[in-house]
Amino acid sequence: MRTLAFALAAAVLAAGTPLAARTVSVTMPPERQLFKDAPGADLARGKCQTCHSSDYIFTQPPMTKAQWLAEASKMKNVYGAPLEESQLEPIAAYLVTQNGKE
Amino acid sequence: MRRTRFLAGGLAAGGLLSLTGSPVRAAGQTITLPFANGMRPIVAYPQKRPLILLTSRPPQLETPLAVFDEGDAFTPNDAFFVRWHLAGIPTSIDGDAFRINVHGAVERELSLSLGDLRRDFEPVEIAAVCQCSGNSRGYFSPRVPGGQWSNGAMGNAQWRGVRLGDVLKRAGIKAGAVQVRFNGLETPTLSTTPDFLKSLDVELAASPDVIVAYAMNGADLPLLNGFPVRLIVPGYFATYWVKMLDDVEVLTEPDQNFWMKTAYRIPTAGNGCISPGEKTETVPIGRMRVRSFITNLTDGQHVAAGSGQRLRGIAFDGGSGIERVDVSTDGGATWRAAKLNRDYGKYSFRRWETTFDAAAGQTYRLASRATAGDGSVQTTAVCWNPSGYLRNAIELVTVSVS
Ligand code: HEC
Repeated sequence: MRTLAFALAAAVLAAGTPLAARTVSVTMPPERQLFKDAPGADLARGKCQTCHSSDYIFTQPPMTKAQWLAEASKMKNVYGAPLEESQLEPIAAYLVTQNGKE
Repeated sequence: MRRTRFLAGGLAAGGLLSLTGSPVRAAGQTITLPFANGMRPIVAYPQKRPLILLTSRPPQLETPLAVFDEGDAFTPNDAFFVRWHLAGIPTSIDGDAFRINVHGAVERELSLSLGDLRRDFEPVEIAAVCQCSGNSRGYFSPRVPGGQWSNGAMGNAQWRGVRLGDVLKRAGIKAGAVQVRFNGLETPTLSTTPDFLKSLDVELAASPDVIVAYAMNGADLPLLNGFPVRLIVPGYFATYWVKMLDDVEVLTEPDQNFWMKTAYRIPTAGNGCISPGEKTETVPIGRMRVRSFITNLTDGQHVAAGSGQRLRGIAFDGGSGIERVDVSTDGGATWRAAKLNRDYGKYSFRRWETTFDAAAGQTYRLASRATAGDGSVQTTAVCWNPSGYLRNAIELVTVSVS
């Protein structure tokens, strides 16, 4: 390969002192809590911020109830969200009040 | 249309643009990206300057476009975008205790400390762009679910580490190996969620440009970018660049895990770009497509009249290098070549620059169009697929002259 020598993996000279392994500790800023009060809020607060913060939901494009139902079902079926089948509809009904469209 | 407005403290007042067009960015402000639900807080995470917050847990942070106009072709570590899938990210890592385990279809299992990596293998350096598969997803029309990024889920760094191929050679790949699977310290909150694992075909994994990096732009990786080591797969989308890499497994069967078999796949039809509703087979996403951006002017900006207005930006592709960048000031009707700046290698951002004459009262529809070494060139055709991957259309920036 013609560009190999130039573009790839130029050997680093032994000159630079390697950085020493060390311990790094960080503190994350507090997360956002965005679910507003409305019927179904308790369900969403209980079920939809276990694995991620609620901003994942509010940064999505506004979605229809059917689309929110599909998202909630995906969370249950694909990512193993602990949801009863009967909880999906009420959650979708709530989410469409939070970030919905017709 | 890319119109980015910067709002102070939630006030829907005029944008805070400095004279150079660089946005004023401070923690506590917000930025409104030009699509529905595009309002984002500006927040400083550990080891990071204030960046555009997409989600707080897991942390996902976007780099403001103006950062790509700073300095040379490299994105500063404290401004480099952050994307995690699962919320179980260690917030403390003991570099001395950290080990990378190499196992599976190998002659000798390895457990390598950071000291082993530095001492026992030849160090190599490579400049390479790391771009999220879903970069620019917010511009998809119709919109698709997923991380709603503007164009800042990308960055370019000088990575230093060791060749993965050298590590695999030491372990001794057994006959019959087909893929190499990577795992990092990121874990799911609930065990019902598939752990984040990614795999590369064994030939690619052993190729000389794939490296296990312990340094980024001459410093430790920020924890949020994968301290202490991260896999670097130059030319490929960032989904394969596993962070906090601690496990390398050589497989004798193609990987069936969720993040390879179901997620991060692109349509086989239409070179990955299809119509909404169209059903096709899919394959794992791979190399990046050629892209370019204007970095010194933003859409909707006013510029002063005068000849010799500066116009500059960046370009990159999936590893064949940038051959040329053309610019247009009339929305793509006519084009002329820009000057390419220093070449840091075929996987790096390539900076380009030129000037244009700005006449008072005029509006200019500025655009850049990159051509890669493999002959691929940006077009006005906008890619769509249900996952929001592969956008690389020519972007327009409209400025008016006061
Ligand atoms: C068991 C864990 C879990 C629970 C509980 C969960 N999610 Fe998720 N969710 C995920 C994971 C994992 C991702 C992101 C995967 C990635 O990074 O690609 C995600 C992503 C999302 C996204 C982004 C779009 C997408 O499809 O990736 C939305 C929207 C979302 N979740 C909504 C919800 C809603 C609504 C609920 C409550 C019904 C919920 N989540 C509960 C695990 C979960």
